[in-house]
Amino acid sequence: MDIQLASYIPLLLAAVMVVMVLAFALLEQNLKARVIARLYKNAPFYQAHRLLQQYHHAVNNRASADEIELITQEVNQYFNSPHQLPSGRQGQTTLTQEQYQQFAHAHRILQKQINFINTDMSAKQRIMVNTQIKIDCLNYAETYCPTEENLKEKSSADHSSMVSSIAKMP
Amino acid sequence: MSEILQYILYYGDKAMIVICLVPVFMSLKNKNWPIFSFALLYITAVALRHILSSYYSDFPQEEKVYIWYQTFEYLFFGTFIASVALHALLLWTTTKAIKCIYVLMTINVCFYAFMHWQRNIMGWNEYDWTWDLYTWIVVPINYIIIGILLVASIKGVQGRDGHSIS
Repeated sequence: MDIQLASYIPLLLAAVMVVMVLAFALLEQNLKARVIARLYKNAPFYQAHRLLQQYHHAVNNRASADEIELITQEVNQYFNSPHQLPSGRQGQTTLTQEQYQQFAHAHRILQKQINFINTDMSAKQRIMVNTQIKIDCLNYAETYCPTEENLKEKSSADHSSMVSSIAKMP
Repeated sequence: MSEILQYILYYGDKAMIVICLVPVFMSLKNKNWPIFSFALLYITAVALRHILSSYYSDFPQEEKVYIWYQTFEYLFFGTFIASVALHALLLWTTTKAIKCIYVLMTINVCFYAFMHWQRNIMGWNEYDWTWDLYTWIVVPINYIIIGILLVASIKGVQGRDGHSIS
């Protein structure tokens, strides 16, 4: 019986596909990382994305406290770098790890919503939802990042000034 | 076996192409791009398979047995790879529906590989070789895949409040 090697290719492909589907989460993560590294290298979010990946990688692999500290420092440097903040506020912000995670989470949610608004909504809906998002931002900031003034006195005047400043956001 | 069941199974391709047009247009209307792209890829695969099978029907039996399973398996595998690549390239998250479909497609591909092994490598040929495993496994799974696509395309993209927006 003469069986060519080529007739085993379908079996091989089936095995490859089974492995790919079984390890799909890993595959997807890996592929996306590669795609971002290749295609979106010059995109504005690339550096932040890289730092985020590094942080998650360190946390998932249970890296030592020193390493996480190092990454957190890098993150802080990135957030405090000149193109991120207006000149008056440089060096003021320092985030704890928890805060950073919360910010990353919030940023993910916000980005999703903004993409959705830009692509899928009518002009009328956009106005409504933009306002809602600003209010969400405000609530988020009040819940997770209480400033010293807020801790001392939760006055309504402060609140309204924050509302007005956030409402000016584009 | 009743006439209707036989008809549904045997002429599955045409029926599937017609049914699959519904998720294509529905997801286009709902702007559900992952489902839209996948439904488009799938409808092309099924249509190609239909064209190929009618093209192969003129061939002699042996050649037909040798080519049939392989090419259809390559078609499904290509669809899977194209879909995965598209999702990665555009940074879409793969939804549960599409993951489910990937699993079902894998089962299909495994059955094609099994039939290829059975008939070309081991040489176990039966008289009516299209009317057994192929019709009972692959066609119903294709119907299930299209059903999942239908449900997923009805759902649409979810807005802030968790309801779908179209």
